[in-house]
Amino acid sequence: MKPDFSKDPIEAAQQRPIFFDTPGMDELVHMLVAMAEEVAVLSERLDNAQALLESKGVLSPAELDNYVPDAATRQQRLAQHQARIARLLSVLQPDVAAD
Amino acid sequence: MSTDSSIRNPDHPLLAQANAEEGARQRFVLALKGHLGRTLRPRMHEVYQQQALPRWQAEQGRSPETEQEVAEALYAEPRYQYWSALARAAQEHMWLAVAAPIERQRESLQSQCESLRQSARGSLTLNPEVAPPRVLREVDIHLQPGGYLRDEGPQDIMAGALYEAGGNLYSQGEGVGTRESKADCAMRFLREWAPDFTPRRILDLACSAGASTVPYALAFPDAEVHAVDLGPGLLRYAHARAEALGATVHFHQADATATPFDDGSFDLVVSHNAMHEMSPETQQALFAESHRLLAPGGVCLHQDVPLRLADFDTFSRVLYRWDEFFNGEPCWSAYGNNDCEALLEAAGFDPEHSHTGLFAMLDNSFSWYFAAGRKGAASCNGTASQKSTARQQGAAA
Repeated sequence: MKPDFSKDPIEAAQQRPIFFDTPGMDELVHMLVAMAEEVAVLSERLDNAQALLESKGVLSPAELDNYVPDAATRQQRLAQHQARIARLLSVLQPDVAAD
Repeated sequence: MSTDSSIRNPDHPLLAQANAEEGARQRFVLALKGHLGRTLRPRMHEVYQQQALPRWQAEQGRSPETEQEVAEALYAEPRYQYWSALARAAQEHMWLAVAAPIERQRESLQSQCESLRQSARGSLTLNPEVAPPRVLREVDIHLQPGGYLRDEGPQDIMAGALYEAGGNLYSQGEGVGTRESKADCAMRFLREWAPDFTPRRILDLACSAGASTVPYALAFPDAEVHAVDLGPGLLRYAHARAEALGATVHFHQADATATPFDDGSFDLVVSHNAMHEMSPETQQALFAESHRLLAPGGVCLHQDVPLRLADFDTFSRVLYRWDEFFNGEPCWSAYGNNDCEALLEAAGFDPEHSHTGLFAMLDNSFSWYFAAGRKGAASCNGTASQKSTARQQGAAA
């Protein structure tokens, strides 16, 4: 998609732009950005947790490698993954993404 | 979100505080936008020269000449398509990241606003009869969710809260200095340009969240300060925010080009970053309204980004116009191509007592564009009107 400079940009603003010739590519880029954002969030969270735990002398980084979550925690993780996937794919539901 | 206590983005209790996850999201989009804007965008000239231009020449047997032809060549390049799609996604994700802590604290922010407004020294006058221009009705400016006119009930402040939080995050990303607000920069200009001038009645036109109104009220505590905008959600927030910062301001829901005030009722009329959201007709009407509102000897000062498209080559103009079509800046080139000198003169300001041009911020990190006019015969420094030469710096929003 290219801008048509002979047209009113207010018209162009009425819809999400499509830049790629291949259908679906623009949505894929949105998903990639959402995915990268999730990685950033997780990375900060892990850094925070490790920093706090180490500063309190609770555990060493090596202990983290051997941790196995219990059933309730696994359920919680599943719910988190579902929420994450909904965010990742939010571009496919523009009404939800705009909220 | 986190704030600093600087003059440009002052801290106050109405700023939603980001928790760890929200803060991480905001830092991520800041980093992404920084990479897209400062690292990849400057490379697009290379993409154009090395790929887009030769391809277009091979297909057409000549070089592209018009902006439309350059756009056809550039927008066909996959690397530019990636940049465009990423930049659009980054802007949308910026708003999601900005909105999250505000949505989470919405009720508490609203009740804080209500209590600040109940003990107010300033005032808020809403007028639902005011008819906003088409651009604000149909476009979410800067892609801000719900746009400037968002209004979800008598306590809704979302438009203002989003506007301020988005602006704070944006200015961090752009590296625009935070030591001096736009209004403080404008007042420093006024002290140089019209040193004899002390305003007693001040009006801020198209004030949005009132971030530029407050510094005038604090700098001129004896002056009566008014501000107008079209968005009720902007104004409720602006009013509460001004009160939180100890500034007495009277806010009105009104069109900046047709305000409810009498002729000659102000001696300083300003606008900040407003022109670039206005059609050419509205910009002209803004200057005309400024002239009508000023008493003899009064000054109008309209500040905006230093985007003067005439100074750029065709390729750069096409690059700037991305924002016009895809980033909620539909009046971008209407502003970038305007002639503020001519607008001032057509509104009745004598060119001998007008000024247009760049003015550097205190820390020299950025320059703003100022268009100023003094009504009547009062003298001011630098009487000859000065033509601007905008530098190509950070004008994309």
